[in-house]
Amino acid sequence: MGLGDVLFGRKKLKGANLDRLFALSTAQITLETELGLKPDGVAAVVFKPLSAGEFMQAERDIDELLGVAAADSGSKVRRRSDSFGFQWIVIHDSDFEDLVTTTHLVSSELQARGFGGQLLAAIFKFRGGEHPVFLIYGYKTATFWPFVPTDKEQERDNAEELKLKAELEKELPIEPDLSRWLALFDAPLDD
Amino acid sequence: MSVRMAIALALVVLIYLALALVAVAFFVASFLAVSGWWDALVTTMFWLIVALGLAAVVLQGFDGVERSALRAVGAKVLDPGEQPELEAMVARLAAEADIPCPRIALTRSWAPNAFAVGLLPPRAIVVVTTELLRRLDGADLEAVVAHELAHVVNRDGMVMTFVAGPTLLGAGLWHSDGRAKLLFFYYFPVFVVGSLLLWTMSRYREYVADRGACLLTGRPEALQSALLKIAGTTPRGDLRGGAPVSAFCIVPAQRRLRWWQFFRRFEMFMDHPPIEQRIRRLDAIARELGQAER
Repeated sequence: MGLGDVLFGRKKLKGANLDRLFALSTAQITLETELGLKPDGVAAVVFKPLSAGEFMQAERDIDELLGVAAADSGSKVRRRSDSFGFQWIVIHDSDFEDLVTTTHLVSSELQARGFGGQLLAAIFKFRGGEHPVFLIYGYKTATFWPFVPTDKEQERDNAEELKLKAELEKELPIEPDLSRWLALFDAPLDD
Repeated sequence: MSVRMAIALALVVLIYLALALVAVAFFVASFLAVSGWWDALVTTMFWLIVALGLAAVVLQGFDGVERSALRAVGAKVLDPGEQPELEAMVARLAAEADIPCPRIALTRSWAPNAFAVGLLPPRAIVVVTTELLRRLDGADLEAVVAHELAHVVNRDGMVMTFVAGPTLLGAGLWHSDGRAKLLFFYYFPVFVVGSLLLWTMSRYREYVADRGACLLTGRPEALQSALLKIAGTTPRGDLRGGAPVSAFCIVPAQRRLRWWQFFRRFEMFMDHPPIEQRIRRLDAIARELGQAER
């Protein structure tokens, strides 16, 4: 945020930063052995395509990208959308390292096609204790945060999340500002 | 557009400098009556620094500005879970805009409107009226919320409070009594220029926030449709808690113009651009977004 942005208004969305996504593959062993977080073999890239004008072109771009990602990695890749108008590229791969790599590939392909500013988050699912645990990567902040939805609608287990934060801080760049811990309820990750 | 804005801002800064100069001259003159020239200058500088320090402390840690703005319109900050859909919408847009998730407040009103208060993004509160929620949904509501978040991103709370300073000082003088009120007549030319600058800045920030909203939602057409729906009626009731609040509303907080306010029908004297003008600009933005650099 420069002075010019303050004086004249920001004219562009902040771009995506993919650099720290790979921190997750390095941290995976610790997650599994020390915290008991087993990867569930599924992840997703959440972004918002522009609807204006070029929507058809964008659709074609994304479908082409899905083909590229699937061919390159052997992961299963498909597209979903949600009620907020966001697009989800859902990636299935039983090998966690491949899962992270494909997620990175999809993100960077989207970035290369001009969707960088529209990338919202990547989400990884883990089998935890009582509830499934999600780790969310914010592309704007280049940080991770835990998200544990409970069975009740639109409720998250803050105590569990904060506990995970304390333990994860050694392994991953965790978002320090709790007001940026975006929730992603009803993630369309399963078929 | 940016050039005009830079000139307007520079003029505001000039007004501040002139006011500071007058204040310093006044104090030096009054201290001069009891002590030497040098002492008077030093004493003035001392009090000036104390005043600036106090102002900085108040701006940093005192959220009375936000609270009084909310009180002026009878808005109540929502507890988590009261409006889950709206909360989720704000949270996603805030994540996209890369700002901390602002609080949301609701106010009962017959007028569909929204505004954002808060000097800095971490203190921002987005206020919507019950009528706005009733009349807009889905993409339209999202566009309005995104417009307000764009104000937060652009630090409009801070910038516009700064720009509104000369106008507020004039209003303060006018409403005071005794000798201070007399001062208003000397101050009047500054008051007029300050108000013109305030309105110019405000119109410009609206355009910029419209553009920011389109970047966030990707749907200029949704903002157009929201603006048309909001402008469809003349709202009753008064939503403005002083000029700085009106400057942040999605549409101007309308009140009936009195006869002596006839001049506010001209764009130069409006704090918001006319809706048709905004719609036309949004057309241009839509075309521009359509040919993004892909």
